Amino acid sequence: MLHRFDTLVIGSGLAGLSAAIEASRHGSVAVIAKLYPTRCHSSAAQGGIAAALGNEDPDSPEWHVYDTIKGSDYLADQDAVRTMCEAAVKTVIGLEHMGVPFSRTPGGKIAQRRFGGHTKEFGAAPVRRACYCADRTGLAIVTTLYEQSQRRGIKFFPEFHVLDIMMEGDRCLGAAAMEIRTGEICAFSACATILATGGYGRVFRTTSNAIQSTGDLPGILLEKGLPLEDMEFFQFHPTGLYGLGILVTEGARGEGGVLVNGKGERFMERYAPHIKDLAPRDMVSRAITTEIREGRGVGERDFVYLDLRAIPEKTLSERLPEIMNFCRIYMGVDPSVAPIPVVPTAHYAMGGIPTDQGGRVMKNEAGETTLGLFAAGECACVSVHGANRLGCNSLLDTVVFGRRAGEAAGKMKDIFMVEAAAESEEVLGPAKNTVSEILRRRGDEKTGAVRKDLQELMMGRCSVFRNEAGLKAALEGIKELKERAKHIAITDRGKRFNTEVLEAIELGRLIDLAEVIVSSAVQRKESRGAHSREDYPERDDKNWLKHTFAFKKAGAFKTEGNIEFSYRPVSIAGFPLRKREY
Amino acid sequence: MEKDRVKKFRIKRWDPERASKPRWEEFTVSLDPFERLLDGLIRIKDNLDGSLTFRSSCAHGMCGSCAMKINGKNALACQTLAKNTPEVVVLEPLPAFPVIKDLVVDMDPFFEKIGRIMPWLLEDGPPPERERTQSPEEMKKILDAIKCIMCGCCTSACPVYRAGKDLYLGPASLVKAARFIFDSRDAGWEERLEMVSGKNGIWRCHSIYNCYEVCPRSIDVTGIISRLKRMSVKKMLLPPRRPG
Amino acid sequence: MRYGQKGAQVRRRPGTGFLAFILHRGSGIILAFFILPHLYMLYFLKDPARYEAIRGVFINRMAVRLAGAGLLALVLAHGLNGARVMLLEAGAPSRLQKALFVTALIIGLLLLAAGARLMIAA
Repeated sequence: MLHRFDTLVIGSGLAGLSAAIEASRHGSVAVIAKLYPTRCHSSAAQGGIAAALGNEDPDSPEWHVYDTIKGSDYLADQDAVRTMCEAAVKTVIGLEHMGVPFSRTPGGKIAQRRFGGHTKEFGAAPVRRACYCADRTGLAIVTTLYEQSQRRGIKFFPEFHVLDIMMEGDRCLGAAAMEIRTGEICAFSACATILATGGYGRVFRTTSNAIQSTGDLPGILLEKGLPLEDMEFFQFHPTGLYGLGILVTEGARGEGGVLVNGKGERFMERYAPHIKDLAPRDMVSRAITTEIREGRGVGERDFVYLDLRAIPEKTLSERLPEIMNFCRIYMGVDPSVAPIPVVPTAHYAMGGIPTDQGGRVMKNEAGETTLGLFAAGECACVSVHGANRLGCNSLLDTVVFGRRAGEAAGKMKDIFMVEAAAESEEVLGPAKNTVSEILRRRGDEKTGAVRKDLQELMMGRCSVFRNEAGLKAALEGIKELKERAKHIAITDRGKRFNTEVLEAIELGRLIDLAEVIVSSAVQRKESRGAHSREDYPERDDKNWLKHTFAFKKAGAFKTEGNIEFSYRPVSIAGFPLRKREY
Repeated sequence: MEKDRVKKFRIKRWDPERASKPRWEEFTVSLDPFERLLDGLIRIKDNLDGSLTFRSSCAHGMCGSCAMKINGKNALACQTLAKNTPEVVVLEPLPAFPVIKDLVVDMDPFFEKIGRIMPWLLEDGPPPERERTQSPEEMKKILDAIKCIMCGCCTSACPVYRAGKDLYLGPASLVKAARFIFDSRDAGWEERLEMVSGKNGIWRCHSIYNCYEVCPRSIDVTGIISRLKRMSVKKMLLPPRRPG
Repeated sequence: MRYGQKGAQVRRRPGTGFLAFILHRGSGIILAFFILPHLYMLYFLKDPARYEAIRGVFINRMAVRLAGAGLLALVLAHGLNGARVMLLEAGAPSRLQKALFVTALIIGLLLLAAGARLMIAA
């Protein structure tokens, strides 16, 4: 099948839907995604969306800019952060107008709560900035945006798995995707293609990310010779349910929950004397990991407690109902009577496809952009999160930059036309090859086993703390895994809904991304934000105040040699570098 | 394998591409008490039979992908723990929807039905400068309905829907309609109420409570439909004013 | 239930609400068929002798008297289930739906027992 639209959006999460709605003002829009629209992982976002509305506490976008930059350990591009934070108020009001059912203050305004790293008066004290809908903010916003997309007649292609981006030089002409239920490979031609495929937390064992968060599109772009930015920065959320990684929102601490170690101490007082449990995620994750490593975990085991017992029961049931449910169902714990066992869980990729503020995908560190190719959301890197993202800024990022990408992409049809692709080997060949190559593989390996080993490897060597020896060993491990992946045998030879083939393809992308993550982590010889090197414990602004651009080098795999790096300076606009203390 | 952890998964499998009718297959896996049935399915796919087909994504009850019939009752595989199931776990695709393969069903008819009730907020004029105000009490009226993740458990469990798939909108669509009808900000409530009071809407519901019993999000589905019924009656009897 | 359910070996118990619905519908249909001849007797059977003869069939034969008790059971099932549904639709909390069914069942059985005794004794 051949399809032709003005704008093509890949991914139906918050960024994708925001982009689609914006682009639909200019022309026809199609959204393709490997899931049904509301099954995206944005639905799992809990805590809120940050905006200095000032409904509960006096607040200012300027403070929000400062917090975001400080939270990013000064790696965020300050002009982009300003764009985002200044758009935040209007964005959240716009979401309310679309129908998002936010929780309300007694006066009927959008309710707000405290969140990690969000402060007033440039770090003086925590501020209520997170606009929320109980602890299902993501679900509320995704549902509303999906509703509004239907209203605007946006065409959805659910359960289409993108296998290839069609490029002609620097121009993107659309994408080739497999209709999962038939196995047919279709071409989608478009004047502009927006990538909004979310994260790739599935490279780690303990993750809050969905099973489908496999980073397919960043993997494809890497293959096409395009760069990925700041891949070494992967956020570990401090409070994932022990053993499962299911997220417990920072909002739980915003409402008054505290972290407690095996000795019953509120250990965050030692790490962030001012804002304690509401320190940014990278610091809290390091604190928890340090406590556990130094033998102050709970009991014999490797976790700490998140204690919500100080929160009144009414607040728990009204503002954190989902958390209460998760704990009851998955842990058999009632947070109103017992503390919750938590560990850091892989949560968010700060890095991704480099874009400018209009979502245009950069093809090199000089900032030259491709034509007709856009990216937004977690898969992109603008970069507003730098080395560490603040809670509630991700939803804001997806909507603000999703819309900006959508607007820029929608206008592409006036700049250059794309005709519907012909059904030719040239157009669909690479996508078909991806599938047939998988089906040709012979051997005795299984996707599940290789994926599990990859996740274990990344968790052990490249998680909260990293060091040169561990990372180098990880690269060796990845090399082996690549070899093993070549011997995966596919038992399901059918065309219809063949998830076995798709999982094998996804695994290939995950391994590629893991390689980029580890390689990027090896070369950055400093500690900044979420990238914490035991062998280089200090931030090194002299040498490393720059974004990493990783390219895949053509040719054989060599340790440290398969990825090439170049660097892009960080934009500083108004907030000079300081030591980061909370 | 420890004996008390052994689970038998009896799965109804069907690839319409290759077989004319479904067959039952049994797999034995080891599951910890606190592991999810979804973990079991993944283990089967990873280790025993790669062709076993099911949907999954968030794995903690927020996305609605893994809805299926578990021991005779619609539920999410990611929300059902091993400790709460018998030794033999029987899995079937959601009833009422066409089977695509194994546990995967075609959800298009389901989403199409939801699309019929104008599922978007209708404004009563240009939006104000700031957010529209809504008191916490007004917001509470839609609190239950906005929890919906559109997994399809309710609609698929409804005998009325199964008997007349082409007619009845089904519980999920009615919950979606209620989400707007009871929203103080929605200007289209009268039109919407008329729509669901029509021949394919609320009056096809016979208060059988299957939807309420299966909802993985504990939404009072039947209760919401009853509220719509009361509102529809009130609207007929009283002058047009948004009744409570 | 369209194909090969045997393999499943799941004990399939219809939900309480479904049971109540079937009971309500079933009893309603059967009652409708009884009410038709009943109306016929009331309005068109003007010959006292024939009227008494037919009534006699009901009064004098034990088997038919017992069937009368069955009729009472149907009336109770239909009426009480109707009351249950109306209560629920009028706003009784959904979590009471099973309890209400059991209550209707108990009240129905008590009334049936009392009624049947009177009818058999009459």
